[in-house]
Amino acid sequence: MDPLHLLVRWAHVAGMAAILGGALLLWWLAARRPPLDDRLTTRVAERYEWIFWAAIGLQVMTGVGNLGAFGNALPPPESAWGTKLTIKLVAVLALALFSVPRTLIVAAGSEADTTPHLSLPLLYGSTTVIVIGILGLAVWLAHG
Amino acid sequence: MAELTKPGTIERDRLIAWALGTFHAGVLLVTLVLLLHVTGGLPSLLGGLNTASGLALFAVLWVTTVWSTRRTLLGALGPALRNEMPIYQLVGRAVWRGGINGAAFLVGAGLVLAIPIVLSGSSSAIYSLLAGALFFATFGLVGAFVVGCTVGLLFGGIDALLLMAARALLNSH
Repeated sequence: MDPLHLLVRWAHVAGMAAILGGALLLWWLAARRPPLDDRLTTRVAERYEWIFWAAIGLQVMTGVGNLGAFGNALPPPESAWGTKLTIKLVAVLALALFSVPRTLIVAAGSEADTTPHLSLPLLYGSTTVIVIGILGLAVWLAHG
Repeated sequence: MAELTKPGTIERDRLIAWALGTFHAGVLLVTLVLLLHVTGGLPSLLGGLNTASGLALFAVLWVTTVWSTRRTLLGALGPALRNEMPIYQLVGRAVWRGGINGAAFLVGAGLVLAIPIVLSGSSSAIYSLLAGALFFATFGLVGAFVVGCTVGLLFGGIDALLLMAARALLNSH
């Protein structure tokens, strides 16, 4: 495998690790009782949102790069592998769509420098569940 | 208006522009890949594009889209994400900025694709490149502007709905 493809694969896995690890951490911080600090969760969430969108851009870029390695040998959409890819792409679109309101709520909270919004545990819990689903699909795809 | 210049608001708007710009570029590419995949056109496209060029093209799209989204949102959101301008004006700005983004992406993409041709040093290839650049500088830019306006209208509408959803969640507690 050439170094560029290796780098693309590494970046894809590292980006997924950042998205999932951060979502799990935020879910725990937001749901924790008693809370650690009124503003700590908001601050960490704000940093996470910057990293999350950087990682999403990287995932899209490297994901297409990974598909590019198949070239003309990419399995057709009606094959089992092709169906899995369709499901994964729809799930990625759903994650992106769901994540915009979450980021907007965190951004509004950081602007006001207020206590974490009550919906944060639900938003980060849902993000974690969707990301684990996509990770499952990715593993399923990688094993044919 | 003073609220818009607060450091917290500037930082908030930078985060929102980063998120929405990445959302637009990412969703656009994933949707195109999905449509090409289900219609069976993806393998031929992937076969004709090398990995480095593909990565560079998306990087150009990402940069121009975040920049264009930032320009669209300038002063558009007040405290607690309230609209500081009528929604039709914001969508109109998204359409205009989308058009400029389309043209900017075409210029960036042209440069990315021209680099290997120039580096090859082949005079016939460079001649073809100049002829292609002339076409891109005229019809190509107009086409890219129109496509960008259409995509800007689509994402302007989606963003307005997502902002409404976020405001509803903010006000629900």
